[in-house]
Amino acid sequence: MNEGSSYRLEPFWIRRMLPEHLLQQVSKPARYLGREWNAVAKPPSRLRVRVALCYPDVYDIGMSYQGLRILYEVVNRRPDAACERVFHPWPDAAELMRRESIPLSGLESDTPLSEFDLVGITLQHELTYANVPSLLELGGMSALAAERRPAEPLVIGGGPCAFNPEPVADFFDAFVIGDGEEALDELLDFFLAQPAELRDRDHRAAEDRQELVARLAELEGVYVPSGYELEPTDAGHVVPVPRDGRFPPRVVKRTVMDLDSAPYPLAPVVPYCEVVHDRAEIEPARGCTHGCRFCQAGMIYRPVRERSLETLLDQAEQIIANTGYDEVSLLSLNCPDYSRIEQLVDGLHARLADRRVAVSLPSLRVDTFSVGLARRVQRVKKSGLTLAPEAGTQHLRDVINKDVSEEDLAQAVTAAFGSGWQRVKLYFMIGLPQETEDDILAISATIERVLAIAREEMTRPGYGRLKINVSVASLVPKPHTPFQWLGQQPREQLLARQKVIREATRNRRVSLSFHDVRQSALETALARGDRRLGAVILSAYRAGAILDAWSEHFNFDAWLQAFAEHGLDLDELAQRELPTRAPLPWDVIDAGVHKGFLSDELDRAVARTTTPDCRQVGCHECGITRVVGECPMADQLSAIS
Amino acid sequence: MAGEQRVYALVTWRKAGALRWLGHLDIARTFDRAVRRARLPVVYSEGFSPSAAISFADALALGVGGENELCLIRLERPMASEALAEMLAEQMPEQLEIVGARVLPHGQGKPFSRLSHAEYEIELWPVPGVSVETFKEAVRRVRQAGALPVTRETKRRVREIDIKPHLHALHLTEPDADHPGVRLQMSLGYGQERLVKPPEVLSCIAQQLTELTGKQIALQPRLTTRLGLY
Repeated sequence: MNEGSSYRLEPFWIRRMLPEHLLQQVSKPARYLGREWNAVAKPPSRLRVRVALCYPDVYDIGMSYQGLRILYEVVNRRPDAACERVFHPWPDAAELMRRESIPLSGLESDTPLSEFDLVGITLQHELTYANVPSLLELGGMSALAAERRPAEPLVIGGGPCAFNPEPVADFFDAFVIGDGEEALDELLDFFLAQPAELRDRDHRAAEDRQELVARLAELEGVYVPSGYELEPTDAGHVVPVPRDGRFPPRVVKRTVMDLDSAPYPLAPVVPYCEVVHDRAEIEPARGCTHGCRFCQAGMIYRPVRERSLETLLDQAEQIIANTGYDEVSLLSLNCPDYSRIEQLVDGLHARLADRRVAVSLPSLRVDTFSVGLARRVQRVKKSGLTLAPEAGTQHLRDVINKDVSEEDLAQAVTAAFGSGWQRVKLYFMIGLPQETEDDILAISATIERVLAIAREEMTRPGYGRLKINVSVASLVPKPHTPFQWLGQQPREQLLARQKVIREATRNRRVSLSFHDVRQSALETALARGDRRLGAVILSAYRAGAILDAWSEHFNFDAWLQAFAEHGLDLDELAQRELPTRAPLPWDVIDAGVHKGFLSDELDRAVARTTTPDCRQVGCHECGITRVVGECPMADQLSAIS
Repeated sequence: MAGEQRVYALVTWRKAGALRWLGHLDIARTFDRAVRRARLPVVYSEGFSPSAAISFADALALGVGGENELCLIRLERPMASEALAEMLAEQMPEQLEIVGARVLPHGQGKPFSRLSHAEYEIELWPVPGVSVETFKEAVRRVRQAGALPVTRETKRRVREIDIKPHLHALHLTEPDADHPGVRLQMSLGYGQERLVKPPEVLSCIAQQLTELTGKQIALQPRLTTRLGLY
């Protein structure tokens, strides 16, 4: 033995979540450690409000979501507040926690969820809905808002799914609709301005907590479901109607107009373990004007607002300096649309290349400009190229208003392979309105054409390494889109479509993946659901549904059973076409875009008429100016008309 | 590459506390980012995904701590050892401490090839029905055995290996107030043909305990720490 070495054996380290002897038994223990670089742990004595920010899925997924980091920054930059992160445990850890009565806690200070003042849960995807009651109960809280005890924190929902809050309304005290940067700050100020009798969790009465919740409705962009009664409609839904004057008939979404001055995380928490997206992220713009008719994000994030070039470059530098990441990614619905995209890419290279930092873009528009851009971008590191034609034929692309032509695709692909890309990802969607089997075969034909171009353009060894990954999703009609009234195609039909593609596309260089039609059907039923689904979600959770977005955990039977138990049929709800005149459960949320605009777009879809980008041809009066005043793109538009 | 001067820094670091629950890739990733934040003049690899040229003597498994772990960082140019240690230490989390750093004189770029043994301390969970005296006897027998056969699985086949020649020392420390189970300190062979892994030593002890007690005994480590690589 080496006598000289005197070592210090650590005192046996114990944390409630999770203690050492349990860490030994779970997969990927790093999920539960916290203590990451840039995690913020504040001493509780100076704090006036403690917020738990929850992502209702596991650490690996939640830590990949930039919105969480933005809100973490919004809260933590206040000296009077602290924000802690909470993620759903993996089932092996969840079981141990239940067995040993270990409450789900914030990663920063190991404080149980039930001991915070406010619990925020972001709703990114309908398939995380069953995780919501699970997360709350693991945290020692009541799943149902109506059952919450006076000492329980307020539960606030947000994210894109909050634009139809009705299916999960039973679990939430309130929702913040739209951009959270200003709204969350306001909510905290509002909370702190309330009398102590309402805020003090340990001493308030049930009526006090109720009153506090009701008062939240005074805030812009906040929806308080308990303030509404439910009325039946001709379409078979129940829709929320205000109980009294305290609650507005429609809640208008929040929109941050000046992104330059909006808080942004410059020292984001850096995970130790591998997560889905692990890189520096900057957000050049929010919103999109292409108007693809299936896309909810394109509608609910209007209008388009940009950050200035200087802000973005400074932010990128600071984030890299504070994290040590080797990649910076640009987050926007359509990066090439950013007005100074080339200067941005060149500027990032100029400032970061000496640190071997790669720049990456998400899915691109299908045109040569985009490919040229991608080439500039991927100088340091060449990953794959992603294109989303969505449909196999021009007429179907016109129906969905996806502004991509055959020539665009051919040229983009030619440019890509000619520049040396060896991996291409293609996104397609089936179950589109007006779709025929010819349209489905056209998807395979498109893939064949891509292969043919590859053979022409690539070197021999290059072609040998070619990998085309094709992902085929099924249309999920979403609230606040022109397609919101459409029924989803029956599952059997979607499966038949998948089979056609699979059989027509047999090439070892092509790898096909299809979204599970059962997951897509559930997603649709939940997305367009109403308040009655709260009971269904709770039943599904109690029957064992959890982490439904993960195919290994997806429990369709539990869901079918849960719907049936409450007199509802999952498939019927997904496939039902809705009458355009009937009120909808999500009408209570004003996303800014006129319902009339959406139904006009649906008519145009049926007529296969396209609606070009308003930034190219002029304003289509979608309605957003009613909410935000002048559209920020106004000077670009007036230049056209 | 005749005449190319390769500069290396040998860094000694600790893996302790909660961060013992990181795997080797997590540690490697942490070092990569720390080195970038510190803006050390590190050499980067070429190719699609340039990473900092940091190589580790040996991986530490999930859950295993280390008191004197080693990694080698290739530098673009020489720099003062103290400055490097300080700059790197500032970027490492508390439980991944930098113990020291030494910029090596030219020509000493392969310190890992000279490593011959590894020392470990393993604290065990108490085993119901097994007294400390029985443990001591089992350890004595392992120390005095002529041979210690263990099975080792590789991808292709299962081999039987005698680890006795490379078990250099084995001591037992009795339980106390802070440690409910026994602690074993051991010095094991390291590298190529000499390698012995702690679980193999534990299985030999467990075998002796099984013989001594007539019960099927399995040993569970509570805390495993590699004290150093020498």
